[in-house]
Amino acid sequence: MKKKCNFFAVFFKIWKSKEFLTLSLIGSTFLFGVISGLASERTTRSEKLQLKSEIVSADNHFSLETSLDDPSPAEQVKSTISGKVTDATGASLPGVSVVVKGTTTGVITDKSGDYSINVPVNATLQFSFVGMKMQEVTVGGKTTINVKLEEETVGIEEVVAIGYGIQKKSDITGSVASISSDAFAGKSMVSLEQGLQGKAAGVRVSQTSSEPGGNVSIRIRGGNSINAGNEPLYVIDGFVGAGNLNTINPNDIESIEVLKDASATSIYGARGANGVVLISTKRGKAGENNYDFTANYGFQQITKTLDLMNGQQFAELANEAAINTNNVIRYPDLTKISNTDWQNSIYQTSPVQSYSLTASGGVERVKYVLSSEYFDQKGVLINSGFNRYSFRANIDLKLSEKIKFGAYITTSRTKKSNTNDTGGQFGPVRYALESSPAEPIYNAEGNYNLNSKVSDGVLYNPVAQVTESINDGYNTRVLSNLIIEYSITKGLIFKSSLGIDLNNSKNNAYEPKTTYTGRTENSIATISHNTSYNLLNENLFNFSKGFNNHRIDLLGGFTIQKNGGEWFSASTKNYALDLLTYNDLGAGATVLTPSSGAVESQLVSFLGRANYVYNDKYLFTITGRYDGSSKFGSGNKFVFFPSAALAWRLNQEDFISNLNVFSNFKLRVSIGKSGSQEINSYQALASMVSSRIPFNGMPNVGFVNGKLANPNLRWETTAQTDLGIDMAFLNNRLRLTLDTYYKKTTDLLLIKNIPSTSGFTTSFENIGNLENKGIEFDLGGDILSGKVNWSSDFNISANKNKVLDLGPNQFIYAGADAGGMKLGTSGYIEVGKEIGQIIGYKTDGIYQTTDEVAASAEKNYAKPGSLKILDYNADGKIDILDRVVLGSATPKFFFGFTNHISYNNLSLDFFISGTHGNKLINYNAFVLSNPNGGTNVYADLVNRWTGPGTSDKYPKAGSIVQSYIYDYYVEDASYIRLKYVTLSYNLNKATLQSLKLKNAKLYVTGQDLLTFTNYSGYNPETNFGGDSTTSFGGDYNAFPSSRTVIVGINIGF
Amino acid sequence: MKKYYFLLLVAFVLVTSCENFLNEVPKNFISPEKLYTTNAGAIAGMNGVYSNIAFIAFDRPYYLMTELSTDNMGLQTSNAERLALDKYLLTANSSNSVLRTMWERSWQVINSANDVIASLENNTSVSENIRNRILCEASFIRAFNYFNLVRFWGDLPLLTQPSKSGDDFFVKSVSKTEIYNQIIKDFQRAESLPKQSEYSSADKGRASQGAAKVYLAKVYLTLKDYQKAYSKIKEVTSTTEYDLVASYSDLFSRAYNNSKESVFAAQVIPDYNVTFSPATNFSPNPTPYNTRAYFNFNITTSLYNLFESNDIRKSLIIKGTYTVGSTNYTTNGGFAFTTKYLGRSAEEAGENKPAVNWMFTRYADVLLMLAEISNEISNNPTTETYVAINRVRTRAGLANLPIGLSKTQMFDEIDKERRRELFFEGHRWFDLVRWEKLKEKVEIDDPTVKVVIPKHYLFPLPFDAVSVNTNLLPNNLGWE
Repeated sequence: MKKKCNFFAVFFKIWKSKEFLTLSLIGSTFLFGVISGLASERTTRSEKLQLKSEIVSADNHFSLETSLDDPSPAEQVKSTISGKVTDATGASLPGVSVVVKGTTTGVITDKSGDYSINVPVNATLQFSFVGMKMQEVTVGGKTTINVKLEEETVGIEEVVAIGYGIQKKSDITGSVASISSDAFAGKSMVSLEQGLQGKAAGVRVSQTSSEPGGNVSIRIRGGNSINAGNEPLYVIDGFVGAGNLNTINPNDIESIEVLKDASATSIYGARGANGVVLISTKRGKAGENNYDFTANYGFQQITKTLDLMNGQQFAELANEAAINTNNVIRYPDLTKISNTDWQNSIYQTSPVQSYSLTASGGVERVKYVLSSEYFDQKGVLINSGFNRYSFRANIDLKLSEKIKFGAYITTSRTKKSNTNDTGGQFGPVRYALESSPAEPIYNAEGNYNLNSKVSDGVLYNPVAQVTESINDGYNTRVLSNLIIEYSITKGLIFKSSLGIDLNNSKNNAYEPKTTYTGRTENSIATISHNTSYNLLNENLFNFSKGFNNHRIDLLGGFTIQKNGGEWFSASTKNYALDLLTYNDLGAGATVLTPSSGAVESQLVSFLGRANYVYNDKYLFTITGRYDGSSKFGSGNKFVFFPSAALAWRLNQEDFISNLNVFSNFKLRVSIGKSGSQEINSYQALASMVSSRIPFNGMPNVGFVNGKLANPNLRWETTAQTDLGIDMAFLNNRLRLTLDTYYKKTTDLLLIKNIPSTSGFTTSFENIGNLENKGIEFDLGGDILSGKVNWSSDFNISANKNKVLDLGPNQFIYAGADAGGMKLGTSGYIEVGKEIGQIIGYKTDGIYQTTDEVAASAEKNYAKPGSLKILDYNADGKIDILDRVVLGSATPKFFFGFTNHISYNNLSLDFFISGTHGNKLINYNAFVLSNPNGGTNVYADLVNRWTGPGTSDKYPKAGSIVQSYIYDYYVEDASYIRLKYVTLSYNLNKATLQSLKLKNAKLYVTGQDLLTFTNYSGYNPETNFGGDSTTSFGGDYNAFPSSRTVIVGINIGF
Repeated sequence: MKKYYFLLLVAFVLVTSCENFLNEVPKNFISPEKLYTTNAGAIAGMNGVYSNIAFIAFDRPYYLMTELSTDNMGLQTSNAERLALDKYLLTANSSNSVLRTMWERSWQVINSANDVIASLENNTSVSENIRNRILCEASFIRAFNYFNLVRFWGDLPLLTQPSKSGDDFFVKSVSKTEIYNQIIKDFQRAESLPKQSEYSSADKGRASQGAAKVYLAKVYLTLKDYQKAYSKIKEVTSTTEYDLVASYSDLFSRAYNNSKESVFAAQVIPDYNVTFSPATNFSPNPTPYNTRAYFNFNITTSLYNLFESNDIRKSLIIKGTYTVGSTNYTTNGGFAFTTKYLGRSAEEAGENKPAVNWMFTRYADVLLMLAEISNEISNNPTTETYVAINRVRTRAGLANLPIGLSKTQMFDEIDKERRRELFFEGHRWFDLVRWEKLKEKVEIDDPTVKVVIPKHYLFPLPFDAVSVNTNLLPNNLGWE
């Protein structure tokens, strides 16, 4: 089927053949030319310099306010005006723009805040500066005009980033949460997501692993999908789909906006359904050059260790278990055993440090921010760690009144050492818990002890693992976005951008002979390498106009995006020497099968938005995006996502403003659709995958059916309605936002079980739907102001999720296996129930007597001293029908409470967050309360069953406990955590002047100092499944959480 | 303003004429329609089918169902799923992964074989001789899997076309007679395969003419059609295509993979998951070569006691105290373990992978089949019966059987010989069901086990299979 392609088609064809860069540029230039041509035909009237508060945002290229009609200035008598601009405290303000209203004539105040300008006598001067209210002064014959600028009141006049633009907060019709840079300043953070935790209602952030650089999972208004991704879309400085926040310097962040409802997200169409996180980095301001230096240094320590048996206690247990199972006594001489505390042997107090230097400033035509950062965190687990070097350059260039350039370039290199994300099957965390404490760390020869009297003679010596194994992951990233902006005519702007995100990661692993694995494999090395690219070209038009009581703002454009990656992994083993480690794979005598692969996907989109404001009272927004994705079936490539929103600013109505109660009162309602395409490429296609099969010892390769095709595969769609109220009282001192929403996701991208007689067990289809509904409440206030300032913000959210339909199935098992544990049953998803319910067996203590066993459903195999499983349906046998719901991995509600208190030069910040009502399957508790004699257990198991009546909690030594989910280790994981508390001291002005500094702050921060929880494991926030929707609520050897104390200094000069 | 319509035109043009741009061209796998366009592609497709056969052999389910559920194999660990097979505790709605894996993998192979057959039948882009050979190979593999399935589960769906998107997958079972008819048809087609001796060294291990004939004989034997079984087995034994390897121990070494004794074998896979491997699952820990074993499965006492003291085959069995280097070890619980699949040297065992092929059938099995068939046909042992069984005994270092045995006595000798010769090779459960001696033999070995007849002549359809496709219900007799 050959279609006739025109000129553009040729473009796309070549674009496909990897000439993307060149052609996008040509494409942009071409369009640029078309627009210029169109524009040049129009009469260009004198353009006004729109010098408004410089809003720092990725998308502030668009004019904020609509232009006023030109007053056609006549030629007039001129005079020279001079003066000084100061802030409210009287300090001089350099870099203030002083512009003659209605013209492009303007100057900037100098170092001491002075200016001088030649103006017509009847002119009006506009004084503007970032963060200050703009002031207008009529010249009226004066020769000296001194101006005191007041700080812009935050809150209602704030401007926030929205998709493909910015908007005054008062004009927003959707549900958008805004988080300022304060949330990131003065913390020692690996990743930005940590700074988001608890800061926005409806945004649940869980650090699923506490290891350095560990995974953070974000759910905005609950999970929409079962088998497709649920993480939000990240947009960094306008680059859509730029995740990997580990690589970003938190000091660069100006603000983060979270888009929650359909009105806000549908502009991102097929990728907006999980919510959107817009990250804006700092932008240069005209005026004086500023230098900002921040240094942090601190220590971390694990918050708890588990109380396990010592060597003596364990040896007795192991012997007892051996006797009970007719086996050889493990530790015949109890005087000759060791007493090793494995936990204390692998954890340490470790330093964390970061240094960041930022230079910013510029002149009217060129503004810049340059920053560099070094971050280094040593893990509490010996030899684990994360470090990052990053550099950023944000440049704004004004070529002419019509043409502007913006460039955002950031490069970074991160290194993650000896970590395995969410806890693993064979990691040191596990073996520090399970290894026999009766075994020594080193054997008699002084080498690592790798033999044990228990567990098949194997000792996965965790000290050897942390000390000798190498597992380093490096990632190098270049993320850059170049934006050209052209003012075609008054109010009409064309913008074209070209963004590139390149990631190159490599992982080096080596197990020397000193570790157990290394000894088994005679040393093994693995190198894996992964490169990925993400290319984005956006072409947008923006038109703004205001007349009488009307304001309109129109946006339209098209974007093309292409991403892909390649990976490769090779492994060899059998090394004679451990000297070169992974650096010479050729030194391994045995070569294992290498693997490699590649993927690609493309997205083309057309988007549009119309905002209309009448009389500053009634606000309307209509948004639509038409997306085409390569990932879907041939007939379903394109889809349209619309939304509409309406807001009513009641405080602008006389009947409300006359009440003199509200300083802000807005009602918002929105409805719309957005989608998810968060599945891997090629899911719609049938596949034949390679498989190695030798004949007669000769290597040979076959191709075998991998999966079924699904030409009907299509988008997952989430329809959402949102009802919101924003209120403020007492001149914005008390602020309240309330939102309630209902989301229904249809055409779920679901891995459906199909009859295995087909040769396949699953197929990927659009089946079923689910709903999320919730309520979000955010209360902020300036409780005290004056000598003592205290501002506070509290937010709390609840989300309820329900599976409405799973196609032909009433339930599906969707979880993964972890280390032989039957985690599969944790991902039990059932129609009418929420995703996250945990099902398992109820237990009823311990069988005490043979009579009790004989009368039970377990008479065939149980013995006195065995764990007693409840025959829930009383049918005389224990099977899957006896499982019951044991709780839910989803919290009933979660909250954040932020406080800022200042008094003179001192300020105190503290932040508390928590969740309530969620449970965690503590697999470690299962292992640690099972006295099989092979693995260590809780110290409390000295009180195990030794005869009738001795214990109804812990079974007999050596008894068999099947690996199922039982009620006794599904634990309440609700917690309240003091996430941070910071005490800072700002040097006073006099000191600063004598030191020639602009500002200086000393502070001390404590992170995760206190946690209140009933959870018995290391960390109630963890989940071994990481981001996974289906493998929820499991703790298996998770990295312990730690508390951190940091001292820091921030200097501006 | 009109000129802006141009932009709408641009948008329109982009959407309508270039949807091709969004077509996916996969980079890390091959589309099925592209595979079967060359000889090499067709061979690669067939090889893919074989790779799954290897997984059937070396993964646990095959030997758990055919050996653990009999009087041959004992369980060292307490895993509930394996315990259910060992102690006959299976229930119809227990989601036992052993049964599920066997079921799913077999159907996966059948579908792949169907795909190969459908893709190659009348496909002239593949040369005729290659095409015909592969069609026969795929027919053999399909029949081989249906033969396993029908013996484990009885009535089954009969699927001979590859699955495509949009098919109705909710199929119903047909009678086992229909399944057997298809099996016989496919094995008969496979009789046109090259002989093993005709394959080049690099192709040895593929299905061969001899394998098809032996399997046909096995099918007839299972159906108790002794006459047909006899003539088919004679087509094999009357040629010099196969022979016994001189040393029993050599047979299980890497050098003797695809030897003259091997009739059809799953080929050893490199990088095989060590924890499932029969090599390390059957051996005591540490292995005699001082590598780690997982010793999950032991030889039962009743089987161990069957070996006479001078039986050469005992060299592959370790019981009680044994020495590795200079250290003495004792086998767990004093049980007997086998090193059959561990290889015959430290080098072969060093990889901890299965060192040798898994022989689904070999010439010793053929000879014992001949003995059994001839004993049945003549209602008495014939010279042919004695010659066949004595060849196996002679290699094991045992004396010839005394002349004058009755049919029953000879049958008992065949039973014992098959156990001693073929233990842990996946024959026992099939034998016991064929002989209708499952209850008797299993309960002698372990009196705590209760075997129910005829219920236990079939396994229950896996719970996962019937819960997804209720058209497969009712479950087998006794498992409803």
